[in-house]
Amino acid sequence: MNIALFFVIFPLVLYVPLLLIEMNLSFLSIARGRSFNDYMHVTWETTHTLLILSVIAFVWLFNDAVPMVAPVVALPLLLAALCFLLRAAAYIIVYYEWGTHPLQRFASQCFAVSHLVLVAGLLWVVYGVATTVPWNTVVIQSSLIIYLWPGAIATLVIVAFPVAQMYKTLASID
Amino acid sequence: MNDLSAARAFIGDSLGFHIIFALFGVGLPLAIFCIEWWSIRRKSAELLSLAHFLTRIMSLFVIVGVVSGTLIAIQMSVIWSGLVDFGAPIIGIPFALEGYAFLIEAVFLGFYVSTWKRYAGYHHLLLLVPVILGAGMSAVFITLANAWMNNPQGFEMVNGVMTNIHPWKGLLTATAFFEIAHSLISYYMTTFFAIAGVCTFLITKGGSQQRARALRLVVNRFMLFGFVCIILLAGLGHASMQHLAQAEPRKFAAIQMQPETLDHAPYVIGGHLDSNEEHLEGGLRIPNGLSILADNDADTVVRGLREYPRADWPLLIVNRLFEVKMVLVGFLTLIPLLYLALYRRAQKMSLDSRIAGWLVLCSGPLSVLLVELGWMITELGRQPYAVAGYLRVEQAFTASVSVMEWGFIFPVAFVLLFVVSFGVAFQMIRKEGPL
Repeated sequence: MNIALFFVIFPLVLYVPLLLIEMNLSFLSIARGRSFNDYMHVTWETTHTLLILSVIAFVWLFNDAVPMVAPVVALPLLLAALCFLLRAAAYIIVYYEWGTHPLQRFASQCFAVSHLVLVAGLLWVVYGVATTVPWNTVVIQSSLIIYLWPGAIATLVIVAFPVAQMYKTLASID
Repeated sequence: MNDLSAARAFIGDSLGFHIIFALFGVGLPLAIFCIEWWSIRRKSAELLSLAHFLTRIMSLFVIVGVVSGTLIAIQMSVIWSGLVDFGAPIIGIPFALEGYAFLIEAVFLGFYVSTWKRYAGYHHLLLLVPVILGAGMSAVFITLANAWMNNPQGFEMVNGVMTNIHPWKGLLTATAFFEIAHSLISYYMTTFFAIAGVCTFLITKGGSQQRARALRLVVNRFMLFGFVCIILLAGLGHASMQHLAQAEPRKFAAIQMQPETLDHAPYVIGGHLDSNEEHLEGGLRIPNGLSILADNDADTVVRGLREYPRADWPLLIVNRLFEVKMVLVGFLTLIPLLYLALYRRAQKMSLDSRIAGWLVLCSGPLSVLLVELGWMITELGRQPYAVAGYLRVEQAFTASVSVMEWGFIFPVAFVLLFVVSFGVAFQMIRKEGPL
């Protein structure tokens, strides 16, 4: 159980502060009237992938609990998904069309606000999952663990250097 | 419309939207690798600039592919929880590993994008290798899961419980080989044709001789690569249809709209079922064609749809979709041939030829349509099952979740994101372009 939870929680623990950094930058972008392309362009996909890893681990390791949890978290998750799509559209306008698109300011505001919705949605989902899953009795798909461990170690070794280099760009933001 | 129909429409829309961006996410790294490699070998600043420019478009498409992929993962968990619960011991493996492959792709893509100034030559080029492998492996893992849903193996059902599970035996099947090979090659083909189209457009904008020469080199080579891909696809397509006739006869019968079990079965183009759905009427008939297609022998018995209960028939629209797909394959085989013939005849003036230019421009969108049709046939042909023969769609559906409203809201968001992403991409091509 603990190992299975580790695969769900660890990427989420990394994702949340990085999402908050993106939220901070999105509001700063409006306040200062400049984009933060150097950081966002480079890290956007990787940050988002951490969330995907967490979702994947929960869905397939706790497959027994998924039918129980689904009705509880459907609304916040689908809201979050809608928010992701709109956020991506706003992001593209904000960071690819910086200073040229007529909807620039509106898109920047939408992009910033989307983070608030996402954080609220995430909290709702985490609360829903934590209170719905019968943790003492839920059966874990333990056959997957033998693939997740070596996969995680190999992947971390492969990505360690580029990840360190990419997130360094945050230091250059004043 | 009920909740189940809305959920089916919702996942169908989502997959149809996602695949457009996913295919470019898989194909563009390889195409950019080729262009950057040629730039190093030829010491061409123009080709390097083109690779740099396409990298920006690749990042843009990956952004959309990532969020639409997340939506599908969310739908799988909340709307299709029955599928997750049933298939987890086997398809949980490729889905879990897909996450790692995708992380490698995302990390190295970000690193590659940010190091154009820091690294040069082969050092920078090599950073694309993990992106190509990560993107390719992501597609492989997802397609492994899909192939298992189409032809589930590697387990026994005892009293409704999956037992004696051998996941890799279930995943690494001939069905998986054909699906993976077919889809990956079609993604690369589509990307080659689409970039050839972009370069053709850029040539019309004018510029230096070196620029035109560099762009023409990419057009010619990618049209050739695309042609090789479509020939490979045609060969694979034939082999996979023969495999389908053996492994998934119900889907094969629906694709060919074959109601009766027959030997010496004719291949019928454009026919329709009679009112009792017992015979195929009309259409252009090729005697023995279907039996020969199924196993290279006119005596081959082709199983018809009437061997299965009516409730188990797939949607017969797959037959029409398949016929349209075959016409597209014909066009896409002819386009590069015509282009290359025109190029040879007109020598260096080929791209001034409007016909050649239009042929190249059309090949990208037609290829996207081909990929969409291919996946629609695969998915609709499996209906009414989520896991063929074992789990019906209504059993996979989370009945306690209402998705009626979402089925209307999300398509609007897809249209918005499609317009924004392609609008910005076209704007970049029109305004900036490389060089």
